[in-house]
Amino acid sequence: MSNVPLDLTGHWVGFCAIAIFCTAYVFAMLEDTIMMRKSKPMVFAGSLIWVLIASIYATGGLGEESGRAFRAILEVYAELFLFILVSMTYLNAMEQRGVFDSLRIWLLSKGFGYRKLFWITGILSFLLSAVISNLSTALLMGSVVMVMGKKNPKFVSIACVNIVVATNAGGSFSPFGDITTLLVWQKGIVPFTHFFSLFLPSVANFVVPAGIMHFFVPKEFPESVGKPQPLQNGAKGIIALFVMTIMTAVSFKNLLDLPAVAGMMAGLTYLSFYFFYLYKVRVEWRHDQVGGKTDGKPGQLGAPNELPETKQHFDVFHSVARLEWDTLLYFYGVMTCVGGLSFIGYLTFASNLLYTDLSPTNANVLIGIISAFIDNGTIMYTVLTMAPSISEPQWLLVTLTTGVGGSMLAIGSAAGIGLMGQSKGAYSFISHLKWTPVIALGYASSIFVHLLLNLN
Amino acid sequence: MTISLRYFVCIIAGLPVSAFAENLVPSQPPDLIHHWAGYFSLAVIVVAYVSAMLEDVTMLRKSKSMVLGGTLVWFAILLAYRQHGDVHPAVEAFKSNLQSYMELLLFIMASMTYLNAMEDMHVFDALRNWLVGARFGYRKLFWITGILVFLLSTIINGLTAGLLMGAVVLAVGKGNPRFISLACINIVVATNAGGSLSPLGGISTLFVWQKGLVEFTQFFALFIPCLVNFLVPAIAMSFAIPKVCPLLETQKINLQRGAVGVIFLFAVTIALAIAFDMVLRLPPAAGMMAGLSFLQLYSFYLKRTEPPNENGLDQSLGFKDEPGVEREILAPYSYDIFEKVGRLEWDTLLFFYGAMMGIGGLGFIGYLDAVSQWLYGQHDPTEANVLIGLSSAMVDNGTLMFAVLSMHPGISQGQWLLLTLTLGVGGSLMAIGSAPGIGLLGLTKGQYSFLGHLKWFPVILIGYFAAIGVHFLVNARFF
Repeated sequence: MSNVPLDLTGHWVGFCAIAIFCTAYVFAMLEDTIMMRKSKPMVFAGSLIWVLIASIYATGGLGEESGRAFRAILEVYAELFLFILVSMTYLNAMEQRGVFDSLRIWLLSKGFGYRKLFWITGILSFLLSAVISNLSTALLMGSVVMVMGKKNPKFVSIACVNIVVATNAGGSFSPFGDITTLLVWQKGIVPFTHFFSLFLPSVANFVVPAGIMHFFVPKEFPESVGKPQPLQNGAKGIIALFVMTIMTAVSFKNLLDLPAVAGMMAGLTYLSFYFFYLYKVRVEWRHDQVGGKTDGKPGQLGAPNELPETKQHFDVFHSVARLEWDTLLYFYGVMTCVGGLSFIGYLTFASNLLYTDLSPTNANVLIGIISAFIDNGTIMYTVLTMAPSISEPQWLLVTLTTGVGGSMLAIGSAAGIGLMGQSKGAYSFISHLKWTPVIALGYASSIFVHLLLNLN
Repeated sequence: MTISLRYFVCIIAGLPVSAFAENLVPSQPPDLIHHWAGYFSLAVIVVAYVSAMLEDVTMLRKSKSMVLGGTLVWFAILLAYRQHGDVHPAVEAFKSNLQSYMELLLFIMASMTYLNAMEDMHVFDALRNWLVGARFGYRKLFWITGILVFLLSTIINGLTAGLLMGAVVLAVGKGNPRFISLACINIVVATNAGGSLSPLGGISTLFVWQKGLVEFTQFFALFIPCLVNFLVPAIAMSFAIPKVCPLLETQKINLQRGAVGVIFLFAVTIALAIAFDMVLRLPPAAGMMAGLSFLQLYSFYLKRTEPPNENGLDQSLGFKDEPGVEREILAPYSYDIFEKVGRLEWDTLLFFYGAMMGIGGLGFIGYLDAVSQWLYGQHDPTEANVLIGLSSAMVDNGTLMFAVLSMHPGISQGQWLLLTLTLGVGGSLMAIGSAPGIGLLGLTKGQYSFLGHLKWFPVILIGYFAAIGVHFLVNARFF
């Protein structure tokens, strides 16, 4: 996409495209205020921008050029879409089997003190978000914090800040953790294993603010709630297959050079065959049961003391259908918009502005700060489309900064936005803002650690 | 074959144009045809197809084995390329297949969302009521949809035409799966027949036209053979159509608020997909996505202007509140569009992932080329053309036509026309042979199925040979 056949940067189409994108972006950011889900304005804007571009190209007889550029975007989107499709399917399947519930209940039943709970939720968020999506991690940990801190809003607020920071930090050092890192990995700029050199900087980013906040956490002990529950049938198998899927995706990419998504689709077949196996086993089991004592009720598969199992428990496609469609469509919009702006020629312009006028390190640090205001997936895709010629440590730096930069404001990351919605006021934009200086210190120290460790 | 033509073709057809990437790269790729990877891939695809066909017996849904098959094929190809060094061509081919799949997926996703929304708004019930009121019987509807789609597919691409008519059939035939199944088979046959006689409608015709082997107007010599191909099975099937009128429903159906708007937007969306395709040269899927965003914004508007305390509405269109962690941040929307997006026929959509990747892989290995070489080398052209047409029942016809064209067999214009005909209509023989068939499989949620189509295979085959016979009769001057 680097060779731009027509320069539309000074053309009215170019200006219109920028205006459309900015308007749509503002609408997407105001999602919670105007109650319009973020994908709606974005998909519309993406379509509109390409109508404008293609109409200019088609009248000039260059329709094939713009069509090709669009198809290139579509291919990148396909990789992202199917990748997320598979990982969300696994998450849905795990959730259906009560994996996350049992983790939550286990935490609640242990009777930890607030300080201990603060660290446990933080560390678990950090580790979990390296594998599953940031938003899911934050909401899971948030629900624990909210139950335990019911009588102590101060604890809820501080623990939520900690969770947001930990989730974003944990997502930044693993390609599976976040769309940001996933995009960089899929583009093939940074090999899989090299992401782990971001581990220590990410730890620094999490530990520095947490260490300071630790002293402000109340020293009380809340009552424990509930009793631990055993995992449901098949839950462990699904977790094991998810780990195998990740390994398959990584080895497809590393050994075969195929897009990681090919490995993920292979992983989807593990899950679907496993569901088939569970179904067969269950049918046989039920057959035996019916032979013994006839219940007479069709569709009632579970034994009396088991959780009710519906047909959906054995239908992998049910897990597929419950995707986060809003996010997936939002990225369709973002990719077509940013791709369109790039095709017009603006991103070359912006790239020159950022990366030639500033040093790469400064530019990347600046990009990280911007990501406190703008969704980090959008930022990262924009940087990737700019394709500045910077070294691999610099790519890692920009991965780190966009990943953890979002922690500085509550609205900077999906985790923060999710928790604001979930906590109903105990954790808010302002309560997060109070800790922004501390988080910024963590941001600076993670960059410092990265430069120290990885930049030579 | 130039690069620009290839893209042009992809753009026009907007369809699974798979496995062309091998020609993009001039370097010498390893020969996999006589390699273990090739044999392995072939075996895997055959096993996967067989397993998919036995779906009803084994209770293993068809996508499961097919996705595995598609994955294994590329695994083998990449392993073999890895041994020879340069994997780049194979990766590029994989990506181009993936992109074609994405176009199909987005297209079906957008149209399914519209259909789901309309169903929730009782549009189809109302349409059925209207048709009943107009006293159209099932037979009449069968013929009307068939003839309409035959004409339509000469102008617009087969997938769009087929899906559009499929939506109508689904609406009218709700509650009568037998009619839906037959009408869908008829649509597939009619679409392929109509698409074969015009370079605008079918991809194989387009290839021949682009190559300059046959003049634009000369394609219309195929009109009568194509018509025969459509009429023969249609007449046979019409006897199997229930003679009754759609069941008369006594209660009056109230359209939900906004239903007219959604219908209008759906029409706009179809128009957009065609305009994107023909005017803007963007993938039709992009037009469908633009249309999807209209529906999204419209549902937002409906939500905002919803009159308070309107009873019944919230229940019927309600957001299914699931105890999911991800959902908790969002307030329940009564016009939840995403719930409608998710209600796709995932089994079928994933099946295509496997099938397109698998067949694309075989094409990339070079088996399709090998087959056509063998055919034209060993057989007389007529025989070869008829056989190629038959094989297009299994394989994407664009790929096959491309393979034949790249061998430059020295055959007469009449034979080129014959090839155009057989490749175009040969895809009707099986549900998976053509884009409209594939699209309808995804659209109808199992009412039109692979096996349902297969039952009519003999009749469609008679139509196939009838078309060829008529072609020799009518167009003898071209030979």
